[in-house]
Amino acid sequence: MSEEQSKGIMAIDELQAIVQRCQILEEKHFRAEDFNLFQVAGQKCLEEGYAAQLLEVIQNEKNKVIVKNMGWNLVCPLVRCILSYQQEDDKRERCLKILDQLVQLSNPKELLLGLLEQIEQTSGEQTSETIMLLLQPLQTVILKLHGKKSYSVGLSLSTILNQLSLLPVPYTKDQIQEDKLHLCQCCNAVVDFTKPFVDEVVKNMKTSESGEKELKEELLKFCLKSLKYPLLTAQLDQLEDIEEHPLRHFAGEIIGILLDIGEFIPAVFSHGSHNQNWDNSEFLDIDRNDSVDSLACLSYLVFVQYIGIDCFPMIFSPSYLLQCNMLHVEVLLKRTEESILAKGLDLFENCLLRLDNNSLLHQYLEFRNFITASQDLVKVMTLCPIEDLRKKSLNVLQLYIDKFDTEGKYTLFRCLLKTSNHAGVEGYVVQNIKNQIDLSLKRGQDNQWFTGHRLISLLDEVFCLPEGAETDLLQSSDRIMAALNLLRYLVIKDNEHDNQTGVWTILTKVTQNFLKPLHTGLNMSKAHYEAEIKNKKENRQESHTSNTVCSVTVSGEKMPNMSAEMQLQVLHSALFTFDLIESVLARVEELIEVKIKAVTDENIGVK
Amino acid sequence: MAAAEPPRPWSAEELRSEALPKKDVIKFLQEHAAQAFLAEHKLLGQIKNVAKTANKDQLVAAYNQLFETQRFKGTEIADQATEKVKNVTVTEGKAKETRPEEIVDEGPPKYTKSVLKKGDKTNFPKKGDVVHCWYTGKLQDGTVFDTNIQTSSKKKKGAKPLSFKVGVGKVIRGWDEALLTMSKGEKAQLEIEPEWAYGKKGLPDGKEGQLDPMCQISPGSRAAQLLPFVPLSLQAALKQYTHPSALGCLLPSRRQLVS
Repeated sequence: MSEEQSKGIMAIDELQAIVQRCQILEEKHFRAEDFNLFQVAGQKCLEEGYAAQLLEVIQNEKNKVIVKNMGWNLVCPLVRCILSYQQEDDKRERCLKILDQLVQLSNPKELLLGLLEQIEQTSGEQTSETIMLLLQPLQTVILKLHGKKSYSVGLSLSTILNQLSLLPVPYTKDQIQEDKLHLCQCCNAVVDFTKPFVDEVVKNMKTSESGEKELKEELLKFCLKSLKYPLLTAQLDQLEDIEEHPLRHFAGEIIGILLDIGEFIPAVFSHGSHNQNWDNSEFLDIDRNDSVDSLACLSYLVFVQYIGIDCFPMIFSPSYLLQCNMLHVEVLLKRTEESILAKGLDLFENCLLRLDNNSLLHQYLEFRNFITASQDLVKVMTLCPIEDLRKKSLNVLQLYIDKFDTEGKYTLFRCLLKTSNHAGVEGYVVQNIKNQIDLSLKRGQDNQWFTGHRLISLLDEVFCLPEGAETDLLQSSDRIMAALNLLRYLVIKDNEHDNQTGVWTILTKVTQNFLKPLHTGLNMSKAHYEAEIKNKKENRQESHTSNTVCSVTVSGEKMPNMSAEMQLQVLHSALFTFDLIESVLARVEELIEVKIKAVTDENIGVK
Repeated sequence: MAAAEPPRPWSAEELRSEALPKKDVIKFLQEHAAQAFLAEHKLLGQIKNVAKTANKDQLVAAYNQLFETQRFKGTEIADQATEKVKNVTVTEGKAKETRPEEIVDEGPPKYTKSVLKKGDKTNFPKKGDVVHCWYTGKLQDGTVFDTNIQTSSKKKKGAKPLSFKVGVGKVIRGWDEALLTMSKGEKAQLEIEPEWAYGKKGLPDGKEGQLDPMCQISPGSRAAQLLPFVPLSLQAALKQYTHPSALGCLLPSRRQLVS
């Protein structure tokens, strides 16, 4: 007999001994050390591969009371063994049978805690496997519990989701298909776990028993938590060649649960604030601040991915839907993760696409988040490191501008000019102002916002150099170029007689505050850069050894020092920009001069 | 032009048997029949909605007729083209009619209402009141696109009337305006022009939208028809008005705004 075999037999003997001793005792006479001995012996049996014998002991009718009281102690070694065996192993099968027996025979209250403890202790690659293994036992045990069912369901679901949320969400198509950590598979298994509880709530809703409020609340919490993780960060667009995107499927299931428990529409319309009155609302009392992310994700699923849209009433006006979603958009755009920002932009875009151009009333801008949304877009388009999102953000901003009525556009432009702090964006806005003026002049009606005194006050924001001649012309070149182009357009399009735009009224001021300092600034800047170039060229001949004055780091990486060649190139391109500004400036001044001269000539002729 | 005839998937007995769900028949018809044929038989739209409105006998009749008349998909391209032109001219006509008035006033209401059942004529809702409605939304061709009236055992939406504040821009304009003219218990059919419904664009919703050719043909002419439409009870909700965030406070009257 080998040593191992003898160890195994010893383990069985030990188990038999403790079982026999306890068989004759009453429940209440079990001592703490009995529990201990039972667990140690059982564990040894499992470890030595004597699962069949252990199973026999457990199934023995005489041991019923023992198993009922002590069985849950075996969960831990059992789970460890099951996970260590291969899928098709006989030993695994035997262990599963033991687990099954324990679920049938043990005290459900203690077993529940034993099972949850296992889930809590799992980590890394074993997380999903452990959870999927224990879902079925967990369900059975909870269904056997009489009191505290809601609490147990809630505790189980939150334990499970807490563990899962430590796993990374697969993002690319390959990752989703591979599902290395079985996260997608596990999420869908958890949904199956909830099914009987959802059914119970539905059944009780029909008979209008109010006692199930707690269970409903737990399920709602689970849905909201799932929306936050994994769905908020997941990539949920339909994928080619994947018949059923597992996380989309999961999203559908979650929305299905919300629908079943009657919380879908209240959830879509709950706004994180209490004064919004969705009048049907019996939205359960959950911490709304905690669920803003979840609710934003839900809106995204409904309006962008069209999951559950069939069950959503269609009669809401597009502007009301935009208003409702603005809060969600704000939440999403405040984040920095690519997948979440993309969701925010998609949701915003989708809501805007429902509206006809020029149909959004300017009064909506009195809602705080209608203004902050535009600022959030600017933030994304200027600061986000991902080019696609920057571009998309700009498109959405344009769409947003297009949807407002004239007054709304006017207000929005003014606001963007004041807050964007980015020459590129300001230039873009100025370009938009030009388009609006053009439309007003062409249409000849509805022009009170982009002609006359209102326009003048807007133009004041455009034709200015914040720091006079000392303004950094290179940095604000986009804005300056756009402003000069606008001025040129105005001078050509609007003649002094009509003065529809009012540009001729403010011309002296514009010359004084904008054109003149710009001239001075250009001269100074050009002189400075030319001197710098000259310097560089001389230095280059003198010494090749670079003595760096400072270094630049971008996101932690040190940028290589610029070579003298590159430095020269940069300086030259700056000069080129100044030349460009100067030439447009010259053209504008020329146009003004010609027009004024024409007018004075005319006046002389008349006299 | 003749399209290939698809094989008949079910025999007469199979069709009549309980085992064959309505949805399968509808799916087959939508896949194989011409648009015009489907429109005539009111079979357009999401399968679940069609299943609500059509009974089995109608479906069997449509199925048989399809094979008799041979009006399969692909036999209708010419018809469709002419219909498109018609649609365009109709909407243009409407636009011209209303344009001149829009400048001074917004013109007549862009909906027509026909009363199906009179209300109590005393309880009319005011702007900002909460109303409770049962409704069915249909397109011009009769396709049901939304309803909260339960016909089948499906309880997805819950058998509840839809409740909302009326007259403050929460629902499409046609509803907002029409509801103010209705009294408690009234049932009416509204035919709403696009401007007061979902705009000229139509609804961007529904993955089915991409599959359903009707939505693509002329979203511009999608006037929504809402019927039947019953405010069950009206209750003043003025106490909820204390928070100024509701749009209702910003928009005292839409008419004032536009003029």
